[in-house]
Amino acid sequence: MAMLLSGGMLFDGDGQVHEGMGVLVDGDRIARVAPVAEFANFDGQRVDTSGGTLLPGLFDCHVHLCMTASGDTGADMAKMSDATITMLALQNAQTILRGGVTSVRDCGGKDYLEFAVRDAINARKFMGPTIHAVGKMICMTGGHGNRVGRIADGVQEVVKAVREQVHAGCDCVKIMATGGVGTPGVNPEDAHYTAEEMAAGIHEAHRFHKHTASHAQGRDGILNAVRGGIDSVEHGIFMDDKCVAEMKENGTWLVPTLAAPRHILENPDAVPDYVIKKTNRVSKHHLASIKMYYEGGGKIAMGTDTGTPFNLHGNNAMELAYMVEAGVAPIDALQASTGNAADLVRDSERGRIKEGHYADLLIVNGDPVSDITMVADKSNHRAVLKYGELAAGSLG
Amino acid sequence: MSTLYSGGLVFDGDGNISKGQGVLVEGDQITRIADVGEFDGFDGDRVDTSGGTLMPGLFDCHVHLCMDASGDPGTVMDKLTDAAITMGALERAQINLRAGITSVRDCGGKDYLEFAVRDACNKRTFLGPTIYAAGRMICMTGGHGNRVGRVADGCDEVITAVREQVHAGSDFVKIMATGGVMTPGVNPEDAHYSAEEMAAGIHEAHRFHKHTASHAQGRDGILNAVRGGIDSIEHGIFMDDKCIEEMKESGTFLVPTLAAVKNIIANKDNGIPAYAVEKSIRVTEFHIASFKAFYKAGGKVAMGTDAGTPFNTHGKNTLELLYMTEAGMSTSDALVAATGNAADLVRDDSRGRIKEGTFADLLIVQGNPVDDITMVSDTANHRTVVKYGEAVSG
Repeated sequence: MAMLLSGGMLFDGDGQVHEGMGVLVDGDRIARVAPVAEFANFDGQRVDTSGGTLLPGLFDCHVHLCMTASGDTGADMAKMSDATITMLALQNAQTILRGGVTSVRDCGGKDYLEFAVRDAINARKFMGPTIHAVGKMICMTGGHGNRVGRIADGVQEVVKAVREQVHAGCDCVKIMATGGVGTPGVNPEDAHYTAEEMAAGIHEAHRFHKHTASHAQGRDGILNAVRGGIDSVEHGIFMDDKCVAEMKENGTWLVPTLAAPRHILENPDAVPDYVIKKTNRVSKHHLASIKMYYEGGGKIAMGTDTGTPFNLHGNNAMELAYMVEAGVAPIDALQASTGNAADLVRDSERGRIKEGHYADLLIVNGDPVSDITMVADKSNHRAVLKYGELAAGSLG
Repeated sequence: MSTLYSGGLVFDGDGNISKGQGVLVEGDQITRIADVGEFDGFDGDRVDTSGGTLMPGLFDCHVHLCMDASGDPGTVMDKLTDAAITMGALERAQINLRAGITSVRDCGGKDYLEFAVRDACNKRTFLGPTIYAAGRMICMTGGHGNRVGRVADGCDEVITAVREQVHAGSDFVKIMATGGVMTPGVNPEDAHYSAEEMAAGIHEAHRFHKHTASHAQGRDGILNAVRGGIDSIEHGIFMDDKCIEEMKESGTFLVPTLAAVKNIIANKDNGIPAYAVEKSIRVTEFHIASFKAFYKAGGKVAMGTDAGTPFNTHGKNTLELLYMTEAGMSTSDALVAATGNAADLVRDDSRGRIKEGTFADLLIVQGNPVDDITMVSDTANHRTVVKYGEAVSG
C-alpha cells in the first residue's frame, strides 16, 4: 500500500533540510524521494505534511528497557518476577516508540529478558522500536552495574564475558570503564578496568562483528576505552582536551545522556543519598564536557539513559532540547538522533530519509531547526510511523 | 465516549435472540439496552449491526497460553527462555482476542510466566482478553502434566499445593483426576488422585474462594472429582450414566475440548509423539459419545478448546462451536456454552451477557449464528471484536 508524504519540510538525517519534496512509502520502505511534481499523478494515500516537518524516526542509543525509572529501580526489579520485567520491558519499548523513537540501543538489561522483547519486536510480532541490545554490562568486581551485570576481572575473564554476550545473541557489547552515580561505593571519576582489560574486551567484541559501548565518566577511564578502540563513550562526564582530541582521532562517538543527571537533580529527595551526592558533584562537569566536545567537533549520537531515576521512557526526545541548551545547534541535535546514531549502531537501513530505507518516520509540527521543541516535546508530534504503519498520532 | 449498536439482532448470552434493540456502550460498559426507538436523539457514535448479530464476546474456558500448538509443545517450551515463553503467551492471548475470544481461562502454564501476561492484560497495560489463570496444574507423581505441574501426593501435599497456587495468585485451581493423552506412560482411563485427595484439594481451593477444574477423562476419576465438589470436568472422555447423573445433581460443568482430540488425529503424521496419537485414536469415539449423552441429559456445558495442544491453534477457538453442534448440540446452546454459561463457571458476573452494567466485551458477526453456527465458528464471518468498549483491530 503506497503513501505519499508531502507539503512540508523534510529533514533527511544527513544534515540537510529540504522543501518541496515528496516521500513515497511503499509497504514498509521508502520507495522514492523526489521533488513533489514527480508525484503529480499519484492516486494512493496522501499525507499532507504542510506546516510541519518529516524526519527519520529518532534513535535513542542508550536506554534500559528493564528499568522502571523510579527512585530506586534496582530495588523495584528485585521484587518483580522475570516475566513481569519482560512485560514491563515491552511496555517501555512501546512507550518509547510512541514518543517518536523508532530505534533504541538497550545498554544493559537483566538476565537477557529484554532479548525476548527485542526478538518479538524485531520479528514484527509486536509494534515497537527496533532494538539493539547489549545483554549484560561487563564490569569489574564491585564495578558500576555489578548488580545485574556480568562481573569479570582480568583480561582472560573479560574476553570470556564478551564471548558470553556474543553467544547469548547480543547486538553490541558494553564494557564499564569507570564508576558511576547509580552504584554505591564507587566514584564516577575512577577508572575501573585497566587499559589492557578494556582493549582486550573491545578487541574480542570487534572480531565478532559487534560494536562496543563503554560507560565512561572519569577521564582516565574514557582514555582507556578510547585507546582500546571503543565505538561509543557513554556519558563522558570528565572529558579534557586530550579525551576530545583522541576521540576525534579515533572517530569515537559520544552518547551524552544529559537527561540522566538532570532528572536525578530534579528529584533529590527521592533517590538514595549516594546517588544525589555524586550527581551534584558531576553535573556541571558533564555539561562543560559536552559543550567542549561539541565545540571541538566531536561526533555525537543521541542517548538518554531512560529507565534511570525519573528519566521516563517516552520522554526520550527531550534529550534534544537538553543538547541544544548545552550549546549544540538544533540541526546537529537532529543529526545526532538520526543518521549519526544509525552509523554508530551500524544500521544502514534506517536513520535517513533515503530510498530503500525502512519507513521509520516522524512527522512534527513546525520547523525543529528553528525550534527544537517541535521534536523535543512530543505534544508537537503529529505522527510516528514504524515500517510504514502508524504507531502514534494520526495521518489525517 | 458513547457508542450505540443497533440495526441487527442481539444474542444475550442466555439463549435469547431479539431484534429491534439498541445497545448503548459508554466508556467500557454496556449502560443501556432498550428498543431502538428510545435512542432517537442519540448523537454519539453509531455502529450499524444490520444484517448481523451482536453477542457477548466469547469465553474459552480451556487454553494454555504458554503452549504454541506445535507437534510437541512441551519440548518446544523446554528450549525457550522464560522471557520468550512470556512474549509468546502475550502474542497468543492477543491472537485469541482478535479471533473473538474476549475472556480465556488458562488451565495450566509454566512457572507462573502467564501470570505476568494476565496481570498486564487485566490491568489494561496491553490489549488482550481477560485472563483467569490456574497457575500450576496439581498432579500426582508421574501424573498428567507432571513436566510443568506441581507434583503432590497425599492429602496434606495436595492441600499444600493448592495453598501455593492461591498464594501465587491463581484465579482458580486445577487438579488432575486422571491420566491423559499428552503424557507418556499414563492412561486416560485411569484415575490418578484418590477420591480423598481430590476432595481435600477441592475443599481447600473453595475455602479460599477459588473455583476448581479437573482434567478428568476416565470414569472413576471423573466421579472422584465430581464427588469432591469440582466445578468443571475438563474433557470428560469416558462418562457413563452415573457420571452424568452425579454431574447434573452437583451442577458440575463439562468443558468438552472436542478440538483437542480432533486436531491430534487430523495431524497424526505431523510430528506429534506417537503415544499421543495412539491414545487419541483410542478415545475419540468415547469422547463424542460422552459429550452427546451429557448434553442430551441436560448437563451444563462451558466452551473450551485446550488451545495450545498439538495443532490446536490459538485463534481457531471458535471452531469448537462447530464441533459441538456437529456432535448434536443446538446452535443456541453452543453459543450459551461460550457466553453466559462460561461466565457462570468462572464466576464473572461482569461479562458473558448483554446486560446493563457489564463490560462491553462484544462480538459482532454476520447473519444469525442461531440459524447458522458458522457465523461464529468461522472467524471470516466476524465483523468486529470489542474489548472494554473499544474495537479490536487485526
